[in-house]
Amino acid sequence: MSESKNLLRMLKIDKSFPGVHALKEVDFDLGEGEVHILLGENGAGKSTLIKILAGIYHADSGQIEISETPTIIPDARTGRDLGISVIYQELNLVPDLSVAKNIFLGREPVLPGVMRRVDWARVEQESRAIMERLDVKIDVNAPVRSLSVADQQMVEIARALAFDSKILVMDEPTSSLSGHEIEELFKAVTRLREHGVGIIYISHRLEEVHEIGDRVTVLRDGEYMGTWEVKDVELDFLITQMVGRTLDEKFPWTPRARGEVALRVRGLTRNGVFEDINFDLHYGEIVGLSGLVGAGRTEVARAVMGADTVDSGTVEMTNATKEKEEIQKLPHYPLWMALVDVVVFMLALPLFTVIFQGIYDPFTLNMNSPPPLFSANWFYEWILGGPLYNIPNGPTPYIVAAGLALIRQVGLWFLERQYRWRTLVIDFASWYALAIGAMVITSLFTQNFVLEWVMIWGGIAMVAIRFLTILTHERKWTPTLAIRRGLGLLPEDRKTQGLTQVLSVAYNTTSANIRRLIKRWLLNLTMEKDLVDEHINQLKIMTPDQETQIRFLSGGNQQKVVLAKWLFRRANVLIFDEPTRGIDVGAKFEVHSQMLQLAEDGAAVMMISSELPEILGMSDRILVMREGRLTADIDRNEATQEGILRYAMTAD
Amino acid sequence: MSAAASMESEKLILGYPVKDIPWERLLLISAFVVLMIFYTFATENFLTLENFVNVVRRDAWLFFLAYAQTIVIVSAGFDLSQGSIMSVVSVMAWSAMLHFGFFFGFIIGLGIGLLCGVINGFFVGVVRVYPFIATLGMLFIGSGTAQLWTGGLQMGGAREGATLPKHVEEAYVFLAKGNLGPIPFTFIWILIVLATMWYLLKYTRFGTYVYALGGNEQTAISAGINYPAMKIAIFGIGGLLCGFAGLLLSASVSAAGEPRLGGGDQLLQSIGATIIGGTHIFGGRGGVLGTTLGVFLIIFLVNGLNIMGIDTYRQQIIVGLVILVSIWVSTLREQKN
Repeated sequence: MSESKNLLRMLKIDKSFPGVHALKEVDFDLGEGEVHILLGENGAGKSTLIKILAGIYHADSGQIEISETPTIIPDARTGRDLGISVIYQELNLVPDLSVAKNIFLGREPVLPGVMRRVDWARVEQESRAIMERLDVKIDVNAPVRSLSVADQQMVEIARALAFDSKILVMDEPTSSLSGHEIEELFKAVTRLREHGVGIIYISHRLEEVHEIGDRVTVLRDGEYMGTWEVKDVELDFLITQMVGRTLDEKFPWTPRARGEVALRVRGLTRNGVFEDINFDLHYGEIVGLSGLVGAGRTEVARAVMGADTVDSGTVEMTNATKEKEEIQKLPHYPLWMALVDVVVFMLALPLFTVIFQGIYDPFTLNMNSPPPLFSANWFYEWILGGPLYNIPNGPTPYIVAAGLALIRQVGLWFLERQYRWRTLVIDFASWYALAIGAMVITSLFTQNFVLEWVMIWGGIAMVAIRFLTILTHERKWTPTLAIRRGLGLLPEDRKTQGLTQVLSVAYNTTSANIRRLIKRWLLNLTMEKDLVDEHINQLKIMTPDQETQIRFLSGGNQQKVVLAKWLFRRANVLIFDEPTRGIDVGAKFEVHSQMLQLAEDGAAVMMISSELPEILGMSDRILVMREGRLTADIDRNEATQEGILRYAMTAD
Repeated sequence: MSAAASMESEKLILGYPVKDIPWERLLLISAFVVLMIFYTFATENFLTLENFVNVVRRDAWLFFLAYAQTIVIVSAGFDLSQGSIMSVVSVMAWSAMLHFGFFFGFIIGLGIGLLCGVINGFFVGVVRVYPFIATLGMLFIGSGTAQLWTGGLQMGGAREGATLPKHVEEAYVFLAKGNLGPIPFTFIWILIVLATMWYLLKYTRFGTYVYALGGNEQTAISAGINYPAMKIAIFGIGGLLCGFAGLLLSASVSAAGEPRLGGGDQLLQSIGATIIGGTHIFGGRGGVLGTTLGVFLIIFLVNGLNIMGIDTYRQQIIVGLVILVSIWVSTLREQKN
């Protein structure tokens, strides 16, 4: 490939952020019609490099040459005009516009004339031509919303082509695609390559390297490790190039006795996010959950916490109550459906009550006496202001009632596709049992206020009772319940999800369990002060006093306050999500010590981390996730950086 | 797992992938049908041509207000100031008609509506205030200005010595109540504006950008769309239509300048009609055809209640509930995602 024309050359690119040296004199080049794969662990500097190329960041030093000419890319617009297109993981399309309109958004061709009308025919035609060039079958008039993720990606590629891009960056394009869709994408990539487009391909799937790549460059910790022809290198060699971060950090790990099972997760599945997650967490144990960013680690933690709904699977916590709580699907009868029922029921009421012939005949109704309390007439007086006229006798009301019930059923089918067919049949039958029963009984008694009363309020009660039944029986696993069982999650984004920045240390510590401070309906503030002091001392939180606002504390101390919050809540199963991200080295060690102390005191600890040294240094056992599946459960003694990375990046 | 997802998306019903069936639209249409059937049975003269013509003629202003709200909401904006733009236009156009005659008064009225809209657009697009806040400000400025202009009195009705000349008043009333042969003029206004707005949103670059701004603002901006100019244009069109609605409503209430013209539930009804009509509350989706349906639903809901002799207080409760429920239903899908 080296003999083909050079599209791009990046020389000695250097970039620092406060506290991080993100790129250390990185070289990179791209030839015409070449697929150049960029590899690296989390935080190796891949995306920084891409953002510099796209003009979003600016390099501190170094040179960028495009088509052999030195260039400066001040902003994203210039980058695009220079022929650089980036397809990010989050797609950048307008969902309700058609494919063709999206491709030409902002550059619509104009018909000659004063009106400057847009030449939609040409937009459509050229979009179709581009789709043909890519050899994909996408209706260019369909709204983007209706396309699959794979097709939306094709639209993005088509858009890059319409811009005449020579350099196309694809950031993990296959992460949300299935096998067949990946093949389609690769075909499109091959076709682009034939047209002389250079492609920078970022991927976490190592098996794709040989399938699609021409050359591969590896970054590690912002350092340039080298560039190789794909056919010359083995996957194992690439893995060894990617790992090897220094292990000079100290971790306060000591062996401990493992207790009973604290948390048992079985078959946890959320379609498209993670699948069939099984693991046990024991008391007194620290389990590391490793994997690449986007493998679904945080999502699993949130599901275990009950913060997100799952499609199937169970979470069992074996503490004090020993009670098994199942994660259920959404209740089959949500609140809004009950309201729809009540509304439809009310609309259908006048028609149902025609069945009581005589009662609603306005000509025989004695208007001098008030309607019986809670009767249908009373109901109409109150809601509608008077009795109804013009309600015909004969079969019409029944037909209309049947129509209403049918509309409702069809609506149900559209609204709740999770609805089981059996539930649907029972539902439909119950409505009809009500109508037919009323009909039969009223043919025996022409005037019966009791029955009428039963009709209206009984119907509403039926809906209410059914709703209540479902509420009590199908109990969802919610954060409230999880916390009550002793589970605590220290979120990755502690600044916004874990703490209230403008409130005091004391408030943040006690807010999750304010009930503990209540004595005779009032907060016992003296007790709060003592208890908070206790936690501050125990966790060595560096704060001037407990009334200091959280935002004045350093990252490490903020993390400790989140921990204090859960300890105050007496949580004994703790999930740390990236506990030391953005924390300086000294505080890191302290957070690790606290974690160890918790485990020694008998708590079960799970730690999600992207840093392999931290995972290796702190965990008793290491779980590895790859693309929503648990791929490994490794003991501390057998774990190596290469091993973990192999499980995290390659299919077995 | 994603294979299953793609299989599902390939299954089509009525031309839509299963997950994208616009059931909120289906629900709306079936609710409309149920309502019409109910009224037809429950009242004597609901289903008559005369009633239909009267209702659409009387509530024609709501169409324009709702179209204005539609274009603003589709672009991910929000206009709270519609009612007070109507009030300002009503009183100022009346004064202008007193001095310059009907035609120039009419043009000035529209111009004031446009100006209010452009000011809204300026604050949203250039100063970058949230549309909610910007138009809330305009709501108070507008209603205050209208009250100040007339000293809080109705112009034309209450004050001595200040009535429009006869021919001006006739022309003004003709705007709302006139007929072209058997067809009321208001029908023609509605059709013209509906057709224009529909063409504008569907087939012009401007309309495409409106949807782009509402659907994905970052994409729109990075595609080179001029954000401030677009916002000014969108709110400007909104203001213009509000102005026209104000003129129509003033004309139908005996050609008076009424400073509290838009102080009622007009705003709620226009938002309600827009949302019921399938326009998404956070923008990017919807259109004027759906809004037309939404307007019909609201005006005939109220009309049926009127014929049944239900008092205004209960009517307000019912309309409020209908709008609340329909907005709720339309947001359910987004909550799921």
